[in-house]
Amino acid sequence: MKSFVVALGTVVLLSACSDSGEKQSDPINNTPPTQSNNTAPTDRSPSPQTGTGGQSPATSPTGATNTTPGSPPPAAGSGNP
Amino acid sequence: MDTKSNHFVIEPGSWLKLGANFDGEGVNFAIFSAHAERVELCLYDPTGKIEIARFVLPEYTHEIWHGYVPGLKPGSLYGFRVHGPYDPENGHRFNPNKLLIDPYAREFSGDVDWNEAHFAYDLLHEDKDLTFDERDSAPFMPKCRVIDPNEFDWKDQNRPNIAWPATIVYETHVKGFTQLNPGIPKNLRGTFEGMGHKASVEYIKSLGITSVELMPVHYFPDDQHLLDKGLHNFWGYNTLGFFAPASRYYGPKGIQGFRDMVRSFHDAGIEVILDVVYNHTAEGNELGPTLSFKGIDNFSYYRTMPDQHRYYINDTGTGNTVNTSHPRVLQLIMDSLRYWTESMHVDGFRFDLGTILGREPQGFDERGGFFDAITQDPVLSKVKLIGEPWDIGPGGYQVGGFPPGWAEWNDKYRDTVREYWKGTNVSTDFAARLLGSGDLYDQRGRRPWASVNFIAAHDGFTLNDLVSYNEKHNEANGEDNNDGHNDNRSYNYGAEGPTEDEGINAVRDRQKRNFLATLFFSHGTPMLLAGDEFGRSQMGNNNGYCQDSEISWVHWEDLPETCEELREFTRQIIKLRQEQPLLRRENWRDGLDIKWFNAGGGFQTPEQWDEGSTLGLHIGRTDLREEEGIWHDVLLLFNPFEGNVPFRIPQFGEGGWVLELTTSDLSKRGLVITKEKDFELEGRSLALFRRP
Repeated sequence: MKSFVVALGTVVLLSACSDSGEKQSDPINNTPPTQSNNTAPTDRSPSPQTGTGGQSPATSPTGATNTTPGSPPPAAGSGNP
Repeated sequence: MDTKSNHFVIEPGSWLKLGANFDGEGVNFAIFSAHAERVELCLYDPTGKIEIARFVLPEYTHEIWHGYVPGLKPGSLYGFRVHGPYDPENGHRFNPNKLLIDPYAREFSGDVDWNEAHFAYDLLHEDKDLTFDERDSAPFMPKCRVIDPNEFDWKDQNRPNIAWPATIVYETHVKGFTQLNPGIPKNLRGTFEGMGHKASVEYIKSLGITSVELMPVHYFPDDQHLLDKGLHNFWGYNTLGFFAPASRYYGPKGIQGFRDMVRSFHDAGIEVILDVVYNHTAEGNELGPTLSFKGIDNFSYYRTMPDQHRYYINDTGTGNTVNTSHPRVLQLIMDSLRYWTESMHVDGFRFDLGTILGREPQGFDERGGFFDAITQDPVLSKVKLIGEPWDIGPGGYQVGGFPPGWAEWNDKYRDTVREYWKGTNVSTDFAARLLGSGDLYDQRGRRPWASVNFIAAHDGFTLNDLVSYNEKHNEANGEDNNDGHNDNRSYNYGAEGPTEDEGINAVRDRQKRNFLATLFFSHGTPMLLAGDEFGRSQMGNNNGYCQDSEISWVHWEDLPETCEELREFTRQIIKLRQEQPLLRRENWRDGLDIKWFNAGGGFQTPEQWDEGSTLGLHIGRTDLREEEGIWHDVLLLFNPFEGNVPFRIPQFGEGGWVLELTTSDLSKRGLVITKEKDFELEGRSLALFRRP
């Protein structure tokens, strides 16, 4: 029984040392968590600023004409075979 | 052989290297087209107006058409005519009446001279692109020029190889930066040679910049609809030649001016990064002109609508989307990037609408072909890679979603910092943005530098206009102010645009300092828009893409005194950043202590974060204590509100604090605080303390 108590005490002591060591080496950081996930969202609106510039979306960016025929809305990005 | 073959002959040649390649004795031509039936090579006289020879490329190997012309030399001009089905509903738009430029052309002679002949269909017919036009476009097309890419002697290999954590990017435009600079000879303004002139390079160097990011310099035509309005495509996000410098920026030395420019920057220890636009081309949608890819192999080069191949997928908002899923299209991009890296010695790339490049048939894939190709490439994986991580297609917003090895424009940083200094409650997010946006980038071994932080870029308000206008003012663009973005998060502080009100101007100047100090004291990679260092204005125009005018050009003369003060302030804070490791964190796990305080001197409480309070940030690293001249503790105080706040300076550790700078009063430096006492943190100001 005595040896069990000694062993238990050793475990508790080692455990305390281990905890103490981690606390001393870990940097302090009280920055609050943000609401952002670690993975990029894929379902929100694109950035309001796209970088490419150009006319307002209703008009054709190139060519002599400014009207676009009734193109259906684009599907999820697909590549030609 | 065609009767126009003159004294030249053509031989089978090789398919192995695409484009026109001089081997010392002749030129090999090779062009990819999976669906063409015949390809003709047209040679032109030095004026580019007279066709002197025409050959059918004699061989077709692995979907590459090729031939070799002995005796042809660098400087020769050429183009292609491609035969095949004109069947838009099945994605094919071949029309040999249209002279086409080589996707691998390294230089062009002339420009697109817009004409109805550029269109493969009858513009006036009600069936539009389902009709066929037989007019020859050659008189109105630029011609490709054969060059010897090895003719330039780079002498020393003097790439600066700036480490990412030390990188400071300066976004600018070749013409916009040089056109009005009185230190540059007039004949060099607006050119690569002007950009590489010592007046440009020494100025940029004097700011402390390490890397110049040039807005598009690949060959691009002006849009006809802009020319019709007396405007021009100034920005250049409209590429036609992915291997050719934009000849509009040529000075007396032509293409060599580009190389001289790169070498000048390298000699000064500054990197050159190119803004590249591989996501779309200048050929527009199904009603756009046929200039190159559309007539060479439309179905391979572009993404078309599933089951409606007449129409293009338009994830770019420009009418078409380059099909990076095709191996030969992917090869085109890789070969282009390698050419600019190895033959033109640039140091990195910023990819416009970069999400497009990672699109696969199922959507964006950060393990898509493009990213995989870059990651395994022994050349490209070592240059700076910066993504604009969004497009306008489904799932296009990918901030934080690019693979390891990439940096990204961080629009969350831009928006949050703008909101914070407006006084909006975004403190929690502001904290994350200031510390490198670990919520976005601390994964898979990515480093803080992956976050390219910016307040302003070419697209949107300049820094000065961000604090001077509530609304955009794009009337000069000819679209009744409907173009450009409305969500600018700007504030004018009492008057729209320039004002004589000293109080308003003082607040604006202070806010500019706040934004700049925040930018350069944030972890991540700072990017400064050229001219923001001294308060350049576009008079409220937030979409200067078509303003090749004094709206977009940087003004250098007759500036108010406050501009010079801001420029000196910018130099000062960039110098601090470069000298002090605490201000440019390299690693998420560097043992940095980070403590956020409230104005009472205690730790921020959850409630205070929710309320959006004035903030104090201590960052420190004990391992820096022994390094001479290096700070091991700094304290940053932020007050985004109008009124002053007595901020109780927290005292811990040893030595108290010394005020290094405050944006409210540049002369107020050196104040020492050794006891817990209040510091009067003025309204809308930032203060930086360090240990004595």
